[in-house]
Amino acid sequence: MNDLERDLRELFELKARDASISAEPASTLVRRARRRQLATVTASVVLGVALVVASIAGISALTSSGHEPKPIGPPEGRGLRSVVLPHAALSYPSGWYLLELGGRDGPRFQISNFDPGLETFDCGGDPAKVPAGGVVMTVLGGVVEWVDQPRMWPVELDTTTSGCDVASAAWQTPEGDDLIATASLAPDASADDRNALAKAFGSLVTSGEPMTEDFLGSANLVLDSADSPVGPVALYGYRENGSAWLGIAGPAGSRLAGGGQIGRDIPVADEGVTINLDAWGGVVWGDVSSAATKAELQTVEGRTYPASLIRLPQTLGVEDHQAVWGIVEGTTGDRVTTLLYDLQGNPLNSYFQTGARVTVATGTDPEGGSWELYLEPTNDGTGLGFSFTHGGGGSGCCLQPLKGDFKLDGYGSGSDEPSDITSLASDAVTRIEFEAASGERIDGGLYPVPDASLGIPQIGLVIVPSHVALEGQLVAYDASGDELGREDIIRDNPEPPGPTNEIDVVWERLRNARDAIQDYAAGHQGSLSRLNGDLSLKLDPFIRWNDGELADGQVSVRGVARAGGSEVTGLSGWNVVLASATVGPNGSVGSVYCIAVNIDEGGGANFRYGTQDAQSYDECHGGWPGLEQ
Amino acid sequence: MGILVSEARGMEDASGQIAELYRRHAPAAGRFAFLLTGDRARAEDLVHDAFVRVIGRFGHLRVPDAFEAYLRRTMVNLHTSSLRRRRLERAYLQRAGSQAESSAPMPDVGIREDLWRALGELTPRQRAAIVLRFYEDLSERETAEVLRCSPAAAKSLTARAMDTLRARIGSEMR
Repeated sequence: MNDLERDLRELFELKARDASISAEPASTLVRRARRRQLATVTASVVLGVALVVASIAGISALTSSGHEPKPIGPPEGRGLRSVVLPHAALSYPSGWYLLELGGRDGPRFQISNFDPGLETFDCGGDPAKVPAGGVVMTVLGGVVEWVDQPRMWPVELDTTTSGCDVASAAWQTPEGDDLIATASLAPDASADDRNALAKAFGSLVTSGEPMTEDFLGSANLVLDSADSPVGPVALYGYRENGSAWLGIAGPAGSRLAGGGQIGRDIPVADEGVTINLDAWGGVVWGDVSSAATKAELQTVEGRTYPASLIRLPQTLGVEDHQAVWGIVEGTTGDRVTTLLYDLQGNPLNSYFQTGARVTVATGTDPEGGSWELYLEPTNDGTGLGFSFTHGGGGSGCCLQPLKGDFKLDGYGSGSDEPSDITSLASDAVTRIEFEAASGERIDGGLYPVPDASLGIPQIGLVIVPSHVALEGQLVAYDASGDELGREDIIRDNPEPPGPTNEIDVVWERLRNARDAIQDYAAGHQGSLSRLNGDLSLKLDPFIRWNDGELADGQVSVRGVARAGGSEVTGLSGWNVVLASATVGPNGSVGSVYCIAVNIDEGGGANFRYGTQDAQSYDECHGGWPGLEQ
Repeated sequence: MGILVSEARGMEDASGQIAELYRRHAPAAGRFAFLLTGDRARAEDLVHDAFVRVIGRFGHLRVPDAFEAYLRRTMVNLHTSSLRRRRLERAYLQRAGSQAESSAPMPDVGIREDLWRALGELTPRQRAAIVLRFYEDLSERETAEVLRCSPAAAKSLTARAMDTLRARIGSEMR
């Protein structure tokens, strides 16, 4: 155990000692708990007829909140769907609503041919409250005292009658659980639906031990199910803490479980999609825009798998979103792209297949030894890399078509080894040179790019000896010796401190915030669409964020907006502006500084600086005094 | 056909069971919640919310041991999903706390309070990982189960949290 671990253990013990809360439950707490708990069954004794109407009514009263049933939803198909829930498995018409209710000893599930909302259906003894054509059945665990021998499965559920809680059955499972099924059927319920309900009941398999991984919606609506190499997996929708969530649960022990909040912003592409990855493959699931009409999954290795788009029921309270999910089999890298298409078949997002390096040039440097300049296809796009054979170098991503004649790509250096500067050049560039701040001039080489589709005719490479500081300018010349472009190479301390301590604190805060935004965009496929809510969670917890007015010690994040982009690909840039200020006399706002951040289509970040209390990207300009423009 | 008699157990009886469950689990849950939240009032809220949630799902428990595990997991889940409001409150509490603590400059206490404050800077999942590992003494696998992540992810969470704590404590002492 190290010192910090020991300190933590001591601290926790000390703090925990003083952390007592009342061990006596408040009456309100008990009432809250009772509302969530399935009560024991109260029913009348009936000889010869297993009539438990009263008991079921009692149960319903405890597990429902008087919800008015919604109109019958449009069925999505009459095929059968088989689903494994934690303590039950059954097959039922795929257009019906199956609610997983979680408990072994409480409500286990409810099935209906109408949308009951995310709660148990309660007709309160009134047959008129069963929707027209509706059938619904709830199966729950209770405490039943059997006078005679317990009834064992299989038992029958009479679905030919009509009314509220009109049909019921009780039995004991091999594990000793007492289960009760109760059904309500509208007088005009079709014979097909009555039979389907009876068949669903007849298909029931129960288990005392959880058959699936657990997760924490209190009422989980099954949206779909599928077979995976490790067993059946179900996709659920549920609501918690006032928000809609999607989640999956696979077989117990499979580690296939998880949930994610949806509905804050309509996803631009597949940024709302995640993957539960394992050695056998993975389950891809999440929410996407309802604009997508087709989806498929592409692994980084280029394999393709089907994906299903699932319309979200109104009950979840999320509009313009839909669920997507699919199963990927076989080992894959850490990423699968969900490709989305609109009604016309146009792709809504991009996919870049990974592949082997493509060598642009090789050579030998007197100091660093043999080197390679190469293109590296990644699933984000094509990166440009440089490396010495004995080690050192690196690559970045992603190359964009060159606009103009010359652009700095990047530079790298290591201790006691030469540095490298790479640049992008048009065919007009015939010579490239590094003008070191120390006065040295170092010639570079130009190498044609083998992939014309990149829109970059040549790569410029300058290898700078280790004794020359990597600070100066990279200059491109044409055949006549005229200068075509010049880029600064700033190695050390590119961001000098502010003119006063107070201003420096603000500048540092804003620069950190800027970097946090950039990191966030890099982790979200260049999109800021979900940059809301708790920014300290999403960005940097050491920065105090707000989305409103300037406040002491805080960074205000404003004007998150799309920056235009391609209507075909759906890719677009994003703008946001960050503002912070020093504290003036009497706590007033002092000197204000802002950074306008643009995340371009390729996910790259561009910055502009200003001194305005800017509310939008466009309002921040002019640079910081003597520094960043 | 068998004869079915359902048990007529009164509401008072069930309420008594809930109360008993609460008495049995609330003290330990309260300590755990306090270490998660850093605040007694919020800890109590968290215990109550989690207790209601778990009771609702597990009613008459046949495996009493499972109650504690689910209660712990539910507390972590509820805590990490309700952070926004807490963050705002914490900013105030930290200020208030630091003022109150400045009047008791005992050397050991000072170091502990630095560490306590540094814990407040962790993300909720990082803090949960630390509390589960070093207060609850759970293994990485058990910690992962509570946090609903892989053991590797739990290990990474813990490591990042420890790095952050070291950095924060180091900076406090400089």
